[in-house]
Amino acid sequence: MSVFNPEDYWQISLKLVNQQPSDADYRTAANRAYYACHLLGCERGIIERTNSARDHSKLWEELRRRGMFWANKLEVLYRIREHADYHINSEDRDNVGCSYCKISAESMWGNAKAITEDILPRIKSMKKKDIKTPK
Amino acid sequence: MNEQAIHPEISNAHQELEYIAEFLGRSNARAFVEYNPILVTHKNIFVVTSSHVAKKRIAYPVVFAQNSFVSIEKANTPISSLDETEIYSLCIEELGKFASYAKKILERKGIELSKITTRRWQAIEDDSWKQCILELTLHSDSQTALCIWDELSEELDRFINIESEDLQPLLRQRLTLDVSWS
Repeated sequence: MSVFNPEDYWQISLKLVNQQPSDADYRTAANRAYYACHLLGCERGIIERTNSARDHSKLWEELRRRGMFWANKLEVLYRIREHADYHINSEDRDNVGCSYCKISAESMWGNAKAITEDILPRIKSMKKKDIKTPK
Repeated sequence: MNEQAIHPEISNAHQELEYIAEFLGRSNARAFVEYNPILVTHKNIFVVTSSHVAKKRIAYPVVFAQNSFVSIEKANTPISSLDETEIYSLCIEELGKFASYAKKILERKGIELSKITTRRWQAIEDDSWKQCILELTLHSDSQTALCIWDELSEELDRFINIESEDLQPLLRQRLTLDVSWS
C-alpha cells in the first residue's frame, strides 16, 4: 500500500517555475499548489469527502465554521486554479469579472505562491483526525 | 379593508393599516402591486405608517400602497422565498456595509486601499457554489496584505454574527473576501 503525500504537488509547482517558465508552467504550478492545500486539508479529515466537486466548497465552509478564517485564502486559491485551468481567453464574456484574466500568468502565480506559503503550513499544523471513508 | 388579510402578528398596527387602506383604497394597493410584481411574487409585506415601517413576517402576500410622503422598506421576507437575484442584491448590500467598516479598519492601520469592488462568482465545476466577493486591492507588500486579510476575514465573521439569525447561514455561505496587493 502506498500513501501519496499531497505536499509533493507543492514541490512540483516550485520546480515548474524554477527555470524560464511559460504561461502553461505558471498555470500548472497554480493548479498543483491548490491541490497540495486542498488534498492536505481533506487528508486531515476536516470533511467527509464525497470525491466530487462539492468537496472544494465543503472544505472551505468547514474550516470557516471552525473559526479558521484564513480559509478565505484557500477559496481564492481555488479561484486562481479555476482561472488557470479554464480561462483561455480573457475577453470571453464569462471571464469578465475574473481579476486573474487582467494580470499576467506570472503575477497570477505570484499571488498563488504567496497564498500557498501562507496557508500550507497552517493546514499541515492542523491535528490529523481519522480519515473518513467516502460514501 | 379585509381583516382576514392581516396576519395576527401585525394586529398592533391594525388601526394604522385600516386608515392607510381606506385612504389609498384597495385598487391603489392593487395598482402598486402590479407596478412592483416582485412584491407579490416573493410574498413581501409592506406595512406603511406615517412615521415608520413595521417589519413583520407574514405567511401570505398582502401589500399596501406607498404614499408619496412616507418611507417604505422591505419587510422581513423569509430567506427561503428569495430568488437568486434577490439573494445577490441582499449579499451585495451586506458587503457594501462591511466594505465601509473594512475601509475604516484599513485607515486606522494606515494601509492604503487602491481598489475596492464587489462581484459575483459561481464555480465552473460546482454550480451550487456561488459567492459574493468583496475584493480589496491594497497598496502594500504581500505580508501586510496577507496579515490584514486574516484580520478582515475574522471581522467579516463578526459582522455576519450581528445579523439576524435567519440571515446568518446564507451570509456565511455567500460572503467572502479577496485581498490582493500591488
